[in-house]
Amino acid sequence: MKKIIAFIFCLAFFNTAFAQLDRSVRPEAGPAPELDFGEYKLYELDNGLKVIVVEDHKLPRVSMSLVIDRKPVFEGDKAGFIELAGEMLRQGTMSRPKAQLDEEVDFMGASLNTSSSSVFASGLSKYKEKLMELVADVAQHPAFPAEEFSKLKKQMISGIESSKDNPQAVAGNVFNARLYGKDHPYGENATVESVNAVDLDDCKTYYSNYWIPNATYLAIVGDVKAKDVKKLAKKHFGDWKPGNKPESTYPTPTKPDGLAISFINKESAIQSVLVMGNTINLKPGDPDEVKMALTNEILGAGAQGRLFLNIREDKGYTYGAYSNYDSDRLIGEFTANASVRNEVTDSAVTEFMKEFNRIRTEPATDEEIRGAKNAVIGSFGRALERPQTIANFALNINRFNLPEDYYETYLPRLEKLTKEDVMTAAQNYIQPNHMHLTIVGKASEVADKLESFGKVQYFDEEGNVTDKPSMPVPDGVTAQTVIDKYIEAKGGAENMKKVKELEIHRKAVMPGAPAPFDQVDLQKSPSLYRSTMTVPGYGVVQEMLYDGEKAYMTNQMGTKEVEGPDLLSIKLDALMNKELKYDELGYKLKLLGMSMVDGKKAYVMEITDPMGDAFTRYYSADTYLPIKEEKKTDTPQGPVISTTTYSDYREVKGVKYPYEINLIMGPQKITLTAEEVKVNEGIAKDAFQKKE
Amino acid sequence: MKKKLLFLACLGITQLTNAQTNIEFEEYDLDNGLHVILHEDHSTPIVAVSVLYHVGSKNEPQGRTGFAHFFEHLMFEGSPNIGRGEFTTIVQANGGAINANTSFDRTFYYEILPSNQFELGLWLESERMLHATVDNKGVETQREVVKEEKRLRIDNQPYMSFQQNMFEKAFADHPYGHTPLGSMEDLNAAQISDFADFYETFYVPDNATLSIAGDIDPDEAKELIKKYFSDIEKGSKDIPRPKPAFSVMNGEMVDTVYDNIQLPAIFLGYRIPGQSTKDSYALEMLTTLLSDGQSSRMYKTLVDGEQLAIAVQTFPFALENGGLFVTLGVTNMGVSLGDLKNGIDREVERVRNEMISEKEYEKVLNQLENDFISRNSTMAGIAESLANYHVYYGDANLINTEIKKYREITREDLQRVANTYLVNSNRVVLYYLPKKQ
Repeated sequence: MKKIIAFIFCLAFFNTAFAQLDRSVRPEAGPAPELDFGEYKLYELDNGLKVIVVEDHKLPRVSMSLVIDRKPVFEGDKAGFIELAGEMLRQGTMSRPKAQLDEEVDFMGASLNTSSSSVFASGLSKYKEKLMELVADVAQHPAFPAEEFSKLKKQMISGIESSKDNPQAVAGNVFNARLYGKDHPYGENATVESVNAVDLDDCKTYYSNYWIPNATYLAIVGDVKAKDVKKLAKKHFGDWKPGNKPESTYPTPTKPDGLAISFINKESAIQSVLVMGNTINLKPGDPDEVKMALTNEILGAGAQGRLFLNIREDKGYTYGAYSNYDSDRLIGEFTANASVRNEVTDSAVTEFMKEFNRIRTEPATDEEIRGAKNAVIGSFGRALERPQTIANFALNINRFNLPEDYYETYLPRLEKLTKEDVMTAAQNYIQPNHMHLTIVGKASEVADKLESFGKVQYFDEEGNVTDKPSMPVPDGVTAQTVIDKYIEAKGGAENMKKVKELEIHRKAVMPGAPAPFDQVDLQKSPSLYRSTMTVPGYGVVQEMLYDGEKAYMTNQMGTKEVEGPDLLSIKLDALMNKELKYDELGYKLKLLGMSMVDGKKAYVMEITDPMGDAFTRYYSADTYLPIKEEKKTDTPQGPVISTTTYSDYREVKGVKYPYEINLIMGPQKITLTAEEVKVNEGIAKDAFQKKE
Repeated sequence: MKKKLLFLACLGITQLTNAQTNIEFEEYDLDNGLHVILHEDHSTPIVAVSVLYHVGSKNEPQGRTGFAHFFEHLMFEGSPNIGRGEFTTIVQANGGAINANTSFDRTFYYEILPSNQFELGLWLESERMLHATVDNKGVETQREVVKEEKRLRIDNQPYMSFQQNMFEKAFADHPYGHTPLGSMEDLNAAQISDFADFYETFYVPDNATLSIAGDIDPDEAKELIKKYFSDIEKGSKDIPRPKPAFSVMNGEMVDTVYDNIQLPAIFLGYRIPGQSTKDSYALEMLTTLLSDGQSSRMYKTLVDGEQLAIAVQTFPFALENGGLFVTLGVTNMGVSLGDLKNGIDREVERVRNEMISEKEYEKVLNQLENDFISRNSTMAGIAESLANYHVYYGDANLINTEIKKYREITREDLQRVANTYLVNSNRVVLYYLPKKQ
């Protein structure tokens, strides 16, 4: 019997083990709950003020928001006056000096804030009448006291100064200026100068033009009765006189070709703040809005977005990478952002671009679509926890003329979307080939590596164009010390002087050309020079010759003798070892500073030849050999910078020569690779005679 | 996921309650010591599932600083049943939101889910408690993320090093002497066995509170909680709980920090007793008096009146075993830090020398009442409050009754605590000046 009991025990034991929870099975969802979109009441007063009421009796609270429904306003050289006007509304009314207003608000434990187009107040519902009275007083009878105005100006200027420390704020401001243009209301930023230029009258005029009841909504939410609110609104807002709604139009911002990179240098930065994006033509209520919501959810709205999963979770470049979009009656925007550590700035840009292109060209997976739809539905559900959401929906329906059931049908419309809808929306609204990228970061460490994505332009914190920043030169380093070290690095003056003849054969690779060209440089001391470019099977396409007296240029159009200043210039170029006697020849050297070239520190030297033509040469701070040269050339299309880079230095008879040279001018790039460098191996004299 | 450290989170947050609210809840313990709190509310079809682990930076031994916060990250790496990095995506792809934060005293995780996904939330949190993945790969990944977080939130932000600078000085002899971010060197030096040991010590049911609020049926909830949590074993290790006795500082400490800023600023921190003490409540009321609202004393005189500052804020950095009464001021253009400091000192002196008026006292209580009601307006807020009140005060019902604690504070008490704690010998002064370019 004992055995049987033991046996049964064993069974029981095994049974429990068997019935144990299978943790590998993720719990299934129950039936989807119904979302309750609540109800609102809308009343219109005789003066045109629209009153929206949402009753919610869960907590004894009430909130009131008065919203001016106005078009964007361009402020120009007084940028900041609208914001100041909004703050002035909080500085007291005709019958309530500021101190009294503050006291009355705080004594209820309430809050009351104003902006250029709103008043927002909240507090316990037992104070609803008093709150409404204060909101109405502030909106209709602001006193605009002069002494508060000068205080606010000073504070706003301090705020502008202080925001220059905040890399996110700077990135946002400059991005907007670049995306919309500084002549657009969305692109202009208040500056110290523009705020200084604002008069109190500017604020008063703005207020009287735009604060009119027939362009205004009052939304009341909370533990109130709709009919009481209606009565209260009539009492406190009924006498407000209507006015004419101001109209305005603005030019549509143009989009750049390719990626327009704007860099704001912060020498102290240890992270690069990246903001990128393009304008979109997407208005509130557009049928595409729900598609863009889903697309953005997949791409980068949160931690399940591709940007986050790739750039944070997989690469660890950042704490977060996100994308966003805004629909807008004037012009909307798609943006993406991240703060990444300096050394991976360019890699992060690569990943952003990759993801933008991927969502445009590859269908999302079923799992992504399902997950993103659930996320959008979930955020809807959470938003409904706040009764203000219902009021916001009502406001949007009325301001933007949306169908009354816009929000009720939003989720069913979302459910119907397909992979194709996502790709189409991405193609329409995410445009990596017409994008602005703004970076706040340490230029000396990160900027040069960005050149491969597009032209990098430099800006100050206010979005004004500036020069490329340079780094300070260490103590004791001068133009002469750099040249001396360079000569030493190249092989030393002794070895260099021994070079009497130099013959270099190179292959020249040009994009678009069917095969590499042959390029031969011949040089004989003191100053004979011939440089020939040949296409195999075709013949000479370009040649430059200096025979000791005269210079000739040959191209497909024929041969021409070079005269005047160009002759002098070629004569100087032909001179062997001119670096050894810059002084004697009349060259001027100026050490401009230090900079980074492809991640390497370099001395930046401005070299001016005896004719006064200047170019910039970058000497590696490590090897002292030249790694880059820049020269500005004026062309009929305007100035063009031509860049030459030098690398792969190899020694031939004690002197170093760059075996790889890249010539870059505008979109053109030629790569020259040396195949043979011959020193003092004999060059026939007639090699430098003009061929007839 | 924007996981937050409780850095400046205390700015403007006051911990209050109100006699008028009646938040019903029930609480019980599982056999393994897990404390469970349930609040039922069907007004929106969502549910907040939260777990509070009573471990923060103060529990970290020497040489292991930053561990508690690091675990906040590591705990998203997965489990045998949740793939690496999937924790968050599972929640979001099922319509939920997720977040976590770490303070000096505790680590807090929560999901807000559609209520039909309640069971998913329990499964996720129980996986995390039972057998979270603690391995090299996860540690490596999260180390980089935490370094980025530090760069983003502290190193690349003006003034943000203040917390570390202040606690280091005010609590040199105390576990609060290092902040939750800890030291990167410690994190780099730690071995996988150190992380495993930390997990086994602190991430156990008897050190956790499961607090749930929202659209649930409590009976069904209890069954599900049993299903997912009852088989998790009690912790087998002693949990280090430093409880240093409170003392005021013996001498003012002054330091200057050169930062990448344009406007000089001052940070003052007075050392104050733990948050459950009567004096802590009184000090909190003083912060409301001094800087809550535009009629508050410091705002009115220093920002509005004399225009010495563009911002002045006083807030209680109240913690379990002590804390700081912090005042920060950012100078207006052209104002010297000395003038701003004198202005702040004048206001502090005033609360020491004069009893506040009846009217101001009443205003402060009204402000606290309003704050409290707003605070418990979301399911996530209620779940968190219930867990905090249970863990720190041993009384979850404070969510309904805490206002009494404030009402019991008299005007005399306010003057007394000002004279006890808000004195120069009990403070750290940090001057923030622009770094020379």
